[in-house]
Amino acid sequence: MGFMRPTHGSGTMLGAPFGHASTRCRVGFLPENVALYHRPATRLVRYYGALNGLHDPELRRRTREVLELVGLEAEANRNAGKFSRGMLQRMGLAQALVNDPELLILDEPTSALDPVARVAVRELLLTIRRSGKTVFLSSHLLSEIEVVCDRIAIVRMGRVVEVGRTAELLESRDCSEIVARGIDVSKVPDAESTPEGVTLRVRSAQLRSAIEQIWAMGGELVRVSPVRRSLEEVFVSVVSGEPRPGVANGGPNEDAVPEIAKSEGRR
Amino acid sequence: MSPMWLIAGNLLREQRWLLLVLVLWIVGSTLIATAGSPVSSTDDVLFFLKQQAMYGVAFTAFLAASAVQNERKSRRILAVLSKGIERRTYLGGLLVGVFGAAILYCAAMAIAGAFVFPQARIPQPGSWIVIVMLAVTCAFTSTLALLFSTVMAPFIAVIATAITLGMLGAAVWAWPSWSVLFPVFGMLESIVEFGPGRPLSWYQAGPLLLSAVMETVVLWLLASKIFEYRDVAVPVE
Repeated sequence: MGFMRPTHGSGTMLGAPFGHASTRCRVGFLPENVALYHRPATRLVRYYGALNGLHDPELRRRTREVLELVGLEAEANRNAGKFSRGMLQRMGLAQALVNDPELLILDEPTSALDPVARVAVRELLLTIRRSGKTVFLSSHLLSEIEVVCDRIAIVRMGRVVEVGRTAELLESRDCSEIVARGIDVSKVPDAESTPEGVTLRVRSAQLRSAIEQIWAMGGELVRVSPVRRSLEEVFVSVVSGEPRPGVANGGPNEDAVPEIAKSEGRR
Repeated sequence: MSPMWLIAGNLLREQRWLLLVLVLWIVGSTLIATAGSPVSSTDDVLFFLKQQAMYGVAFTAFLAASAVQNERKSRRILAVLSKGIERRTYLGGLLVGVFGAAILYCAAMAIAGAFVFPQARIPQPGSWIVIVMLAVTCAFTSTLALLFSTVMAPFIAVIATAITLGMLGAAVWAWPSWSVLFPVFGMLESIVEFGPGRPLSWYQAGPLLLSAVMETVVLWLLASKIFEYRDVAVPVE
């Protein structure tokens, strides 16, 4: 947004260098711990809209629309200085959205919020995403990111160390999880019993033989899916520089593959 | 309304209680001083006028020096500068807001003066010229303070402003021909020495006012250039 001078390097946003004023008209920004002037909500949104060059009647219409979108239409005449933290965050989103931006940049949008407010903001972000806007958000609340984002970049010491679609980052291409019913868990090494049935993990290359073995044992498949890790697990392994078993290029450790698949693979 | 006017209006709105107190102070103290008995001492009124004038200069310098820093510390600057406005426009808006405060202050002095100047036999056209000079002096001083505040803490910026004015004043005193370069001293001198024996005319004041306004614009552009290179984000506590 051009708030800080880079020590080196450069970049572009919507085709223009960072900090370009007329480009910012096409961007909405919500800072961390948003601080706003103590004014009635409607006037506040109008102020930020007017700063972006909006005029009546469009400004009036957009103000009404964004206050409805963030669920503050009933508080439109109430002073923002008396808002709760969650309401302030929604107010921050309203000022970011008033210019109908192509790109929305959010810095820690759910930090310091109670669980109810966090859910409300998350739902709002999903609504904004569904409306076709690009949402770029930074957060330390990885579970939130996992739910909201299509693509994730992990930054360590100011450098992007991992980037990709959420599914690609979290789901393994090399390791799959099988859930089966009707087999004895004690006869399958490294398998565990879960409410769904017997769960085991195998290398994707050995998936077919593992399934055939389950059928041979008289079992019934409930689900076969790529092994999915939480973003937190991925993040910790990426920033600590550890190999990432079971995810993307890393692949599962040979020792981690259950005997049922290993023995099948050797045959 | 242009962003500059919006920012200026917002600054005035944020400072509205302080401004109200100052205006009430000037008008109220004048009314109380003149209530009941007509003003007879010209010297007393002039002393009061000059004292208030210096307070006005100091007040606008403090207001300008703290404007950017207050916005940064409160993090409100982030939502404003994330909009499609240049930093020059932003500083310009703050300055116009400070000028608005200065004009309000001077207007309060003019209202108070309208009551007491005729009674104290103070030259009428000259007194209004002094008030215009005061407004322009406030504009120049506040722009200088804002310039310093882009690289210094507010209080230090005010001290730096005072030292700079003092040094330039000493230079003008030592080399009177330099007064052309620093019209603010000519104006301050005119304000301080104004009285029945020292009438003022627009002919004398015009060049001073014009060059002071031009220097104010140059200071604003310089402050904007420096501010473009300054980081405005502050860590969240």
